[in-house]
Amino acid sequence: MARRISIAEEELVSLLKNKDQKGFNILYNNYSGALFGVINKIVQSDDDANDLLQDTFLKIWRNIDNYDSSKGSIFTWMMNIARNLSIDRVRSADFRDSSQNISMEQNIIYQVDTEHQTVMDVDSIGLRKVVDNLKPEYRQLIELVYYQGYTQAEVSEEYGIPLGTVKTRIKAAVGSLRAMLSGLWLIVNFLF
Amino acid sequence: MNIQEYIASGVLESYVLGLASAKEVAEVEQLAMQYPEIKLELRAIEDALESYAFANAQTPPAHLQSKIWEQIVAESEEKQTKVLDFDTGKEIDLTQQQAPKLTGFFGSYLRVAASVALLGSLLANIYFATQWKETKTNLSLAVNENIKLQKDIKSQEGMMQSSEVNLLMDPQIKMSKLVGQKGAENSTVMLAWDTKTNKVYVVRGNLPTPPAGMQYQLWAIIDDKPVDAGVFDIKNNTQELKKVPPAKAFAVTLEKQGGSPVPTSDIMVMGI
Repeated sequence: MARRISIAEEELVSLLKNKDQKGFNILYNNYSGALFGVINKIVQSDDDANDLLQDTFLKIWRNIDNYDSSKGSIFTWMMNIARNLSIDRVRSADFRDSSQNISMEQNIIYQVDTEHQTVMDVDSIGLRKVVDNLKPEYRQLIELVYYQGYTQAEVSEEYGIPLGTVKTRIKAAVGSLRAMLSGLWLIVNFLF
Repeated sequence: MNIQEYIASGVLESYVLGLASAKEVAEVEQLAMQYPEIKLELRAIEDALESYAFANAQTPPAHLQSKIWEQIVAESEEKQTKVLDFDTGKEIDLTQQQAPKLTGFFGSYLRVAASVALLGSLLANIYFATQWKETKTNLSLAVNENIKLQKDIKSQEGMMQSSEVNLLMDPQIKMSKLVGQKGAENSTVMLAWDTKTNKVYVVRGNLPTPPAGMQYQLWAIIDDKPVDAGVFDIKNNTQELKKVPPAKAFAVTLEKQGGSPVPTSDIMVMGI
């Protein structure tokens, strides 16, 4: 993946609303890797992931007028589209038939990327090293809710923790991530 | 409402992660508009999660980008050519559609009527096309004329400005202001006199419009006698007049077109 093209979000959104091909190219260049990573984590099948990435971009393109910047960033909105399409696919009948009895949790916990045909994005190596320092239980929590779309009730069941505690646990996980990332920016600024 | 407590509750994380209830969503959106701290916090959470997704980015197969774009193009073309049946609301496939056959007296009558209508329409087309062409020609003529005029104005302005500026910047130029005399108190004339070449210029003439057949004339007062320095037009700026030796003063009178050997009217403006 090429380096992210620096563009103001509003500018990108207005290019997309005008159905400008330049908008599509920037969108794809900047976000396809991150979205593809999310999709791959959920569906674990190259063919399905390719299909779903296509569906995701088509849906983004068709529904860009529904995107409301006051409610969140463009990435959060696109991420939700990619995630929901992927979860729908996983839960659909024919997907369950094709992928044998691997439980969702096993997928997440025991997933080894080298067994997978996909190529990790080279530009994200630095970021990944930082994120790798996240405590395993925090990482698992983030993946369950952010990638897999687990509800608070499902998390509560998964962890055996009271529903009321789920929110604070998630906050701690995100907070830990934020602390690491702010440390990362210090290191990046120091080195380059 | 205690904003710090609200932020600490973890509801903002739930919101960004899509875990919040409908009630919480409405509340967060409302508060984010009200409190910048909440908006900033939301953005920070989004950025952190976005970074997480970018940390786990994977490069999709190279051919996908063009494939998806082709799909987008195909979809938008399909949308444009889709024709829905008015009664059933179903899509009509135009490639399969055949015109219903018209038979019998009514059919041939319709065909004749259609031919007449078509002929009429063709004639009307020719008429309007001609009209349109003419209008277009006129328009482009007008546009060209406009462009030419604008160019003329620009070049004149440029010439005027540059000559004026050159005069003002030149150290060998002496400027003098002639002021209105009795009966023409509001009039002024700006003069420039070149100390080396002795040329005299009228830079600005703020004088009443002269009557037909009359023109303003500049006089150099040398040895207490008026010496003709040339006539000038108040509509033009920076006019070069005659060469005159160093003068004690300058004066302007209204004379007949082309000037007079001696002043014949009252002095309008004067100065040294």
